[in-house]
Amino acid sequence: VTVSIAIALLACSGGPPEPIGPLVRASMSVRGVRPSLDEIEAVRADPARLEDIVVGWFDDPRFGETVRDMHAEQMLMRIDTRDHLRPLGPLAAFSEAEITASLDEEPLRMIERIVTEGRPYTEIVTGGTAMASAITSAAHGLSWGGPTRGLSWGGPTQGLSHSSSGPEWQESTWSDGRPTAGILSSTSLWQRHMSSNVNLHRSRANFVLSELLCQPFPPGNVISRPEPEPGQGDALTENPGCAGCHQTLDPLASVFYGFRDYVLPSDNAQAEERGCPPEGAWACTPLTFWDPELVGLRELEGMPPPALFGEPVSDLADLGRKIAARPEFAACTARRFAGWLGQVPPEDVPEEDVERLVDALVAADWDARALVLAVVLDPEFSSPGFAAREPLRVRPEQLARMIEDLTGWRWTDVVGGYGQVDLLNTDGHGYRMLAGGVNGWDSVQPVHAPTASRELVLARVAEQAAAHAVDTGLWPPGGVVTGRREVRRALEHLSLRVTGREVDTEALEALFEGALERSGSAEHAWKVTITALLLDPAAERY
Amino acid sequence: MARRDLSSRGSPTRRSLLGSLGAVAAVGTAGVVGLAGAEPAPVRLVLAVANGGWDPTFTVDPKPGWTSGGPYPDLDPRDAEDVEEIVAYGQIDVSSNRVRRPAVDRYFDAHLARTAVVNGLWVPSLSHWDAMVHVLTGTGSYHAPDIGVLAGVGGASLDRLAAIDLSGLGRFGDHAPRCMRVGERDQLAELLGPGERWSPSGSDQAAIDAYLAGRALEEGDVERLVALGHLAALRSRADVVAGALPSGRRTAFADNVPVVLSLLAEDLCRAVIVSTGPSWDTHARGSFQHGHWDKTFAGLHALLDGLTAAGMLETTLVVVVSELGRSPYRNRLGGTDHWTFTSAVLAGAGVAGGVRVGGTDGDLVAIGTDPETGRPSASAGPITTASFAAGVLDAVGVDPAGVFPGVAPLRAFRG
Repeated sequence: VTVSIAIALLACSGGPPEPIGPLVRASMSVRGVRPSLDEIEAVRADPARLEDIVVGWFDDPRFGETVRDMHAEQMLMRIDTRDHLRPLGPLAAFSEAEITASLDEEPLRMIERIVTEGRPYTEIVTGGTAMASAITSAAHGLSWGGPTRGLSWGGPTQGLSHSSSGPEWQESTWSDGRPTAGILSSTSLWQRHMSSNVNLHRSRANFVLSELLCQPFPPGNVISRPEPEPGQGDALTENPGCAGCHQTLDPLASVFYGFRDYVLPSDNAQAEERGCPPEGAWACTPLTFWDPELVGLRELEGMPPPALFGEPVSDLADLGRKIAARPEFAACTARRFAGWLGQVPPEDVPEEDVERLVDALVAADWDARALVLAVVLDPEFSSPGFAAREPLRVRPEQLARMIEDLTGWRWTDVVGGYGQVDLLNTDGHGYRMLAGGVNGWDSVQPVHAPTASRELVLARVAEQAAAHAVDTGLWPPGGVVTGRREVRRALEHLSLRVTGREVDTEALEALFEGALERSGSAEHAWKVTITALLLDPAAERY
Repeated sequence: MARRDLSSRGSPTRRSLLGSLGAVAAVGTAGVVGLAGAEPAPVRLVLAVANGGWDPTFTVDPKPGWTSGGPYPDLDPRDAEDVEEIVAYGQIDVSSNRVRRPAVDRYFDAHLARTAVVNGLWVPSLSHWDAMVHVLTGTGSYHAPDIGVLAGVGGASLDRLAAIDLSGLGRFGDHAPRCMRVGERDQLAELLGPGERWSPSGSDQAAIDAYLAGRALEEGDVERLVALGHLAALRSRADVVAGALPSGRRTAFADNVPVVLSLLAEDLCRAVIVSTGPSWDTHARGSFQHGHWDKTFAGLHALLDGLTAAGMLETTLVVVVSELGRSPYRNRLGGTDHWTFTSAVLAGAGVAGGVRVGGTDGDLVAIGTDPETGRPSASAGPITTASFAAGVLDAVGVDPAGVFPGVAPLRAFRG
């Protein structure tokens, strides 16, 4: 009867019976972890403290991870299911897993640095530096000053401006003469968004239009009857159906001449195995991905002079400046942040919100943290109706951080011949896509909804985290208690920590007692109970 | 933040889910699988996706005499057997080369009676991703479900998974709680297995399930409740699922065929989305299309054989599509670039054998086609992805009018 009444109420109300707290939603959005008990207590005592607390989170490294997660999903940068450079030559000291993770992260680390340091977000397309790790240094020729772990060549450690004991990722510069324009200069970005001898950098132009300016191809681009006849002439300029797009796309593509189309891992492997002969040296690490001689190919290949929306562009750096100055860039930035935080497509963010968020961004000298703050502190952000999908669901990357923060356990594995993988952040060996994420290649839209495969991933995570927490003595607080009062007290504490809410623990208590009765083991009963708590709808959503 | 109208996204699903929720709640999440809901669509669907853009001029849309595109420039003049000829299979003209693509003829020799072809299918984009959305969903929306999912949902029934996506290309839309992926290497099967980790006992699991079902109801989380129910069902048939999913990376269509057959035979879902294999995006080497077509028709042959042997051919529609065709202009690398007109192959339940619907002219531009009769029509435009998608739904017994209002379903391939 109770269930029937609940269903009837649900059908009538059409929404969750209670809102999820702004603190929880802000914490999960900004850091991917649940608020601490101290933070909950502080906001309880004074709700006005929320803003200060959120601002404090911007110094948390997990905010940086969040920034990378967002841009990885939108820019389709994490593609571990695809082949990457192999552990050959200067990369021989690293595992495939390390190489894959590091190469994919290069532009994301740049964006993270800019955002977390409060530098103008425009620097992602105008900045004069790049981010380097030992691996990207060896693979792409960026200078880097950390421990070299067996690097057998002198390239990346020449002329360093960093100490040799520096952090894994360091700010660095391109030294091959390529114009500097933030991520637009990134080898990793253009290896991901590769070109070809017939694509002529149009894929890169499309990336700029769709991801940075939110101006994708006009939908429904029609090809009418080819004129002139097939095999003759140039349909891209002479066929009106083709020219509509290519008049915008091609001049922008022309800016990217100088970059190689791609270097396949197989190209690199062959070159390394042949000892890097002069004719194949471009494919040896560090890759010769920028070659000034390639700039001249533009005219030979019949591409138009470089331009952005009809405005002439002198080089990549000039393109970056022009992108940053476009009103579409500000609006697109607002859309991308608000859309990702609210788990809605950028184009679905209402125009009036975009305008307000752009104002906040510009007023803060393009400090993207102000944008994040404006979104998560908006009262509507914490109410049904902000997102098309209400409530927000924990992303796999967030789940990894949340569980580690709560229980100290992170789901990793060592795959023979490949290396250590973070199973909620990968797809080739891990479970990111099964849990609703994207693989960055053929699966490019996250699923913000429960599915059977996601539930299975969640269940396995919860079980192992619960076992870890009990086995290490972290949970339950106060030890493996069995007394009714102690159990209730422990569950109240854990519920608050996991869900951010005070919940009725009666059902959990019953679960504990049942498991204890069946198994006779308090440890086992706590593992069962904590598993259920970690899977609770209030923990799976925010 | 401004509020937005939710009615266009979540509500229909929510209403449909709520419609059967009472019985679900009464028996807990595991009860979802035993629920006697509305009858599912009578016909299953296998949606096979040739990812990357195929060139139908190699097979079902031949252009004899072309020198700029198609297969002909690649012929080896020293090999007397390496010749292209047009073979008529009913109304379907097939470009045949028994050296390079022998599986194509073998397929039509065996399964013509249950196979139709659609030529001149217009996909209004040249971008892989946008085009894939159009061809799989019949819409331009990245958030719309694909026709496999819609066919699998087939009404309001909650009693089974709507669709299992083996390809990673499937689009679930609002029906995600009733759909499932398996992972790049069938990680789903690994996760279902016992492993060496700690895990709750069967009784404990039932208690956890009951707790979660109760809490999902308290929170009004209908989607979660449905997904939990499907997980419970999977757990109860873990051995079957593990048997159907031989852990590992499958790269060829033929490797996927036994999996597809197992999933359908075990009634684990109503639709399967599967890839035909490696990318067809042959900008640089058009000759690779030979092998792709050969392997695809070999896989299709095995699938039709398997469905026949299992007695499922009469209740399963197989649709093979690619998001793009390839341009009639051969590029400087000997390949061909993207083209906005493509083809589809349909086989199995309800398909009129040997029928060709639509067509393209000598420039590979679609001929206007009446979607009801399949005949050329000066007043009709090319076959649209919406009409095609609506036609597929109609063929599997799902009323397309709700999803594609005002769209004339392509029915001309039906028997």
